[in-house]
Amino acid sequence: MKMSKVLNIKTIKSLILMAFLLVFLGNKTYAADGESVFKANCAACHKIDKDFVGPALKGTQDRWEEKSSLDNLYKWIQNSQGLVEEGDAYAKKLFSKWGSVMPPQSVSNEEIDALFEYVEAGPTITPGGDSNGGDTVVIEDAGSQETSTWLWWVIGVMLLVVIFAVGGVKRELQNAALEQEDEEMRKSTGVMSSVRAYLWKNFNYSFFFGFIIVICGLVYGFKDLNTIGVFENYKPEQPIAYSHQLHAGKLEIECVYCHNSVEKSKHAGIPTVNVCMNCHKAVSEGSTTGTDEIAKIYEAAGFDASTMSYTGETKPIKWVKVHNLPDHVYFNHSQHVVVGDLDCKQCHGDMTKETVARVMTTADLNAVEDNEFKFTRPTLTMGWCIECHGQKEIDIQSDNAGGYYKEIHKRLLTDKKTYQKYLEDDKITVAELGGWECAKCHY
Amino acid sequence: MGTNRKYWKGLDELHQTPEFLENSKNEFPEELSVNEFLADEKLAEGSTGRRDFLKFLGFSVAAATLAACEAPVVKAVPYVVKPENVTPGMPTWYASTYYDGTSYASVLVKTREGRPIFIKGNKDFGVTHGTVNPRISASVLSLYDSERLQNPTIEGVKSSWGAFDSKVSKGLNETASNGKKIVLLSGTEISPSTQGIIQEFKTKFGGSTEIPKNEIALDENGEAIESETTVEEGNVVHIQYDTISFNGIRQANLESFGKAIIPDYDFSKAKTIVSVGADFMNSWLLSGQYTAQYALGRNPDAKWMNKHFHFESNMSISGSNADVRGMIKPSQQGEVLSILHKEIVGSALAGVANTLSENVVAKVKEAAKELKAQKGHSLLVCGSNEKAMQVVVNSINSALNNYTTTINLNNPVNLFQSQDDKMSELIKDMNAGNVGAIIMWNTNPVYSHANGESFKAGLEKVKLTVDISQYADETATNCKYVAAENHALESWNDFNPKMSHYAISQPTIRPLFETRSAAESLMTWAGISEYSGKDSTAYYDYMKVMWEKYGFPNQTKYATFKAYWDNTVHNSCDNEKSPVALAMPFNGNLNSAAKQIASIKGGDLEIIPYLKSSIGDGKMAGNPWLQEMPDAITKVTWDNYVTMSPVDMKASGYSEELGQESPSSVVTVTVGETTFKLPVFPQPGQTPGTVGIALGYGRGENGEKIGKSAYQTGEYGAFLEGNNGGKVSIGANAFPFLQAGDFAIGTISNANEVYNLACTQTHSTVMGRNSIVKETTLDIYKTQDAGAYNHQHTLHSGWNHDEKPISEFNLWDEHPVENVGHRWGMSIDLNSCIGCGSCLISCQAENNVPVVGKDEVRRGREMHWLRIDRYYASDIEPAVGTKGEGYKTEGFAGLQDASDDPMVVHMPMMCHHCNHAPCETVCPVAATTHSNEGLNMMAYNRCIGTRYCGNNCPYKVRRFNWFNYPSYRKFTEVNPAQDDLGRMVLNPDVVVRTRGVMEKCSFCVQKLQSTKLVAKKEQRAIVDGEISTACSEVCPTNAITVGDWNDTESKVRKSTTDKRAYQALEEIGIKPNVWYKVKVRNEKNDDLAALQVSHEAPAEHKDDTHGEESTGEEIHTGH
Repeated sequence: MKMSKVLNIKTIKSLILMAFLLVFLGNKTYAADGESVFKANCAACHKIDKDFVGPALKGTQDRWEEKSSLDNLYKWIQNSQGLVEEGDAYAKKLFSKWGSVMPPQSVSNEEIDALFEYVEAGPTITPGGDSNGGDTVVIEDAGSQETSTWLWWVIGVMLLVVIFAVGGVKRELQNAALEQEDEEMRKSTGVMSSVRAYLWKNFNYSFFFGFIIVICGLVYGFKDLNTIGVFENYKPEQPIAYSHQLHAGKLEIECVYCHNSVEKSKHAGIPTVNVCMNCHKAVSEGSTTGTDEIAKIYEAAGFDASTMSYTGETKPIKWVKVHNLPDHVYFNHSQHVVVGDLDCKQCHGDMTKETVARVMTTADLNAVEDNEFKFTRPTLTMGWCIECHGQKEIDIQSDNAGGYYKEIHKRLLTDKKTYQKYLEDDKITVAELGGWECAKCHY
Repeated sequence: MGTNRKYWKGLDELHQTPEFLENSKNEFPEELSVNEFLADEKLAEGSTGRRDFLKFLGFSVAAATLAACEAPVVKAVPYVVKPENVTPGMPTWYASTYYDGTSYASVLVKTREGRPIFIKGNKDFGVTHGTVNPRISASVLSLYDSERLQNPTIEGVKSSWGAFDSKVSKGLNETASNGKKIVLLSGTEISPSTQGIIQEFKTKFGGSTEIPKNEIALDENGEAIESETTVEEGNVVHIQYDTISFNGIRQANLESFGKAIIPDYDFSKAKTIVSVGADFMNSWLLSGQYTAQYALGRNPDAKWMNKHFHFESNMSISGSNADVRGMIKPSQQGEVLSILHKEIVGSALAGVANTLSENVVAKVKEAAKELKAQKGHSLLVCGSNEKAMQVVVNSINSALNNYTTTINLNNPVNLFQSQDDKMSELIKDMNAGNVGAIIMWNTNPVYSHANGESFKAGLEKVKLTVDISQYADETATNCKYVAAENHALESWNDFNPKMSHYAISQPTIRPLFETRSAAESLMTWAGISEYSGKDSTAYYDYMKVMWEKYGFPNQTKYATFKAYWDNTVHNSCDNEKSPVALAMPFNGNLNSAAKQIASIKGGDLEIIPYLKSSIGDGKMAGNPWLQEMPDAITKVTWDNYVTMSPVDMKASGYSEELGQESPSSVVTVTVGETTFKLPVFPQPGQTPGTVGIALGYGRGENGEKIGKSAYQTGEYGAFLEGNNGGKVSIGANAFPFLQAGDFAIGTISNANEVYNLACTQTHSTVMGRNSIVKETTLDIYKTQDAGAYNHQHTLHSGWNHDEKPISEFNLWDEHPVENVGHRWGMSIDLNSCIGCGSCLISCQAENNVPVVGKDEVRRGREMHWLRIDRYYASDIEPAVGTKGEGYKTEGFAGLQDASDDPMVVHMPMMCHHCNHAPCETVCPVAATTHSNEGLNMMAYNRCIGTRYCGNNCPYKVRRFNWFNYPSYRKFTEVNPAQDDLGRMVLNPDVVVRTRGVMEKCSFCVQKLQSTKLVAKKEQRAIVDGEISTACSEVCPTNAITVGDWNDTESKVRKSTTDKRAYQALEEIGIKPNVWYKVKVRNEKNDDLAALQVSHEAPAEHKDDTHGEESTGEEIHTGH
């Protein structure tokens, strides 16, 4: 599937990409090692071409060669404090300039070489080259879809024009024929009356098709009415073009890291800006739109990236709520996630493939292979909730059940008849313990 | 049946007036509310025909449908930096303290996302034992009152704090340099830190550096220092003045024991309690503490149960709960004390006459006997503010050896330090032009002082007038500078309510407006700190220093100050041991007291001002929850009235009926120069020759901005227009009557006008259903079997006519898990319930119950999910079905004779969650169904409003939502939810119901669910006691127990299998999940004993007994 998509890429872009890939294929061993060294040891405090907690790494070798020696650079990296104590002037200067000790790194000289090889070459290999391609694909896809609907419209209009033109020609021809036969020319009657006359003339046909149209109208109308209040696929534009695909997918950040009240509260919680800043204090750039979007986080947090300090002027982000339940519904995330032990995917689908949040359709949810329950009713409707409550089994007998359900089990044993009824299908569902009752969700 | 007194809900029912009979058939009025807006004149004049109407209708349906297709865009705005202790969606509780000058309580405040939404008592810490009164519960709504002052004002014009402070400081400096007096006037100030600030303020502006008065009070030789302080007063004085003064007690204790104090009372140790006019469960001193202690002594299963005698004129909450109640005129209080004194100490009070009726004298003598019998474990209290009376009370208590047990002179109460004489002096001084500046806080003397008018006149002569106030109230509007004050929930403060007890209140929300606490204002003007804006911590820092200096060294629990401070703030206070009570020799001058008492002259009509549990002294008159709360006794909402004995009313020809169509008579009350008009309310139990008028009404007579609910609204919800175009305040201000002392002598004449009172008591009737309330005496309870006082209904079934209890019959199949999973149950002990109404307010707060306004209450459309029924009892047992002549004496009409001095039963009534619920079977859309945990559930969104369920409910506890209260214009002035700010008090876990649905008590299902969830998450079973409802949480007497009935060890299970437990209307077989417990009165009642003991007939007389009660109860099944 992916291949076919890649083929869609505009040729020039793909050629450039291919060229890049070929160019760096040769260096791959070194660069890869260097990259892993960089990520493992340096990235927390250093950036390649920008000062961060420590100085930018690019040009480090040159600077040390000039002001001290390359050997000292190895020493510095392996034990910076030692070098300062030895009295190296440049080391002392660096120490006083940055005001902190660089912790000793357990890396070999070879690894350091590889690291700088990567650093010097690195900036051109932007991490996420892959996703670049992927992004392009998505954009292309959307574009082609738009084009196709637009095309249909054009074709439709053209067809209409042709029909009218043909109709006109036909009338002209008829008139011409009548003129030839010296009969009175047909009066150009109004469109409506001619339509009416035509329909009357072909009463059976028009009745038949009219009937079908009315029935179709009713059927579709009824279907449409049924979708009132159904917000599948609702994907509003958000103030920040956040990508779940990048964060949850590529970077594999756990959902709970950001939506951290999901195990405590009824709300999963939208991450507060300080949570974003945990990472984005360091990560200020992105590959596509990231830099602009991250700047919005800084604005919200009142963070000045140039001085790496907070100004104190905050501006909360006004996200658009995506999963809206009516007021009369009580839903508790912690109940489902902690007690029900449900995976986020069960209701929210595979967010690692999404950008900003979206109400998944039932089809999306059912497409997730790990999902225990498959749905037939539209997402976020009561039928959808009920469906799951009817299937979800509660383990009330085993030791894993915990004290609460053990007690319930103990009590159930006093009423064998009911218990047997519940166990007819070998499982006790949420519904059987009352999960279909009104006051479980409506109060 | 036949085991009980007859009860009736009101005189209408008693007299069976035609209106009553008519109304009792129409509990849900037929008139459609639609008529109301269709009857709008403009609509009638309009030329819109029916066709047009249909077109509009069609269009609007289409438009609404289209609009519904648009998904409304909802924003979600997370914190920038989340506060550590806030989890969105989870409540956070803070321990704090409530003090408003009259009520004091240790409380817990529930906040959601930083908004305080619920207040309950702190059961773990503090001297009030977790009690709160309705005003404290409702104070959370006042926080969100948009009519509060939002900025400081100078002459009514908005100002900034900077400009304000510089002008006030300049004014103060000028006054000080001119040598003129600066007066600080406040309600009793019990904050040690604020007192420290006042000292610094005095030092700065040339006041004396005397120690604050409440510490003098602790001194051995109170009198000497008292006189010294007046000498050393200096340029700045701090005068404390309370709306209700208890100065008489302090003065009497000064004379009797050399201490100008209010002692600490312990009602839990008193086996005999005699109160002469002291409503100690509602308004007398630390009533919260006393209520809790009183309830501890009301357990009929304990070794002893207290016996409570009450002599009073108005029917008060305490009086309505008394075992023996005597009706006296307020001028006869001294006579009662005189008899008690004679019986107990041995000498009567010389010169005091005896005009008491024989009946009362007998009761007083019985009281004296009981007091003596419980020597050392009894308590006599008196509500009078006359020093002489209190001296006699001290003498009696002293003779009874009560000063080592029930009264503690070594732990004085610091509340109520009103300096009445200084206040009168101040008014004179002000009018004489001797006062240069006055700063007031926590006080409103223009309204609440007996001499408010001359205080107002005096204010005009003071150059610098500053009021620190939350509202532009009566006093503030007469002051040049008004410093907008924080709500208590927005500020730090500390308190010293009793000598041995210290407490802290902490803010639970950042100030909503540009306001600051009184202490912070005083600090700024005293030059202690500069005000830095809303987030100023000046006062907090000051407090902390005070606590480090004085509090920390005096404790041994914590090693570091940080630990001490953190724990104190976390708990709000500590449970200090109170000093041991030691008896002191009584030194009172009984002769002069007797002379003084003898000089109190009664009159033909004595007017007694009293405090309602809802409105109190009127501080929160703008609070709609409190205004709509039915009074504990009269059940009247939104109004002030004169309570009068029905006997007197009949004699004067006033209308005794009450109801939608039968308005009350209006009378003109005249006392000296003061006159006003009020409707008159028939109050059984009111001493003939006396009338009661509640204080706290008549607020904002000049249209001051003190909250919308302080004003009368008309039929369509708009404010009534007064004579000068302003708003009309509710009721009349009775504070001027306090000038005369405990009561005023006046006259009442018929104003020949009528007025509609909105009373909730005539909507639901008891009729002859005696199985609703069961009552017995302690004697019978101790000596007889349960059958005597707790008759169990039985049915005969099968061919053999086997007699089985009702509980064994089922109308329908039982719900399967009802008996195996959870089954939520509630037990209400009628013996403990005092009818205070705290539960009603907390239910309203927890469940977003709308306020509907007076007009709607009059129509019987109040929305309270929980009501407290109040039944009057009489000693006559009418024979059922008596007709003709007998009807007047033995039938319903016969009950009238005993109505003058009735016994009272308070009975909380809410949805009973019947397991065979009659409401569920009639719902055509299954909107109300039964849960397997025994709850009767309401799915509001499914309800189509047929009201069948309401009609079928035997308890009449379902409420129909006639309007869209949060948006319909009729409720703009009353419903706080119509206001962006007022909406902030709503509980986000409970839906705000829309128009056209039935609603009712849900057993606080949101709380049940969240408790279950916590247990599930922690993988443990639910612990008994964990489950609570809003009403059970705030009940000051712990009358309400809730829990899992299927947990056989649970409190509620044990309570419901108790021999006192019964279910209201059990005989109709609906199996409710609410149990009541028989009320046991500690009285001697031969009539009742005769009835109950004879009823408990041996088996062979079974047929006779059944013949007696063959009122359809006998249902034979199985044929």
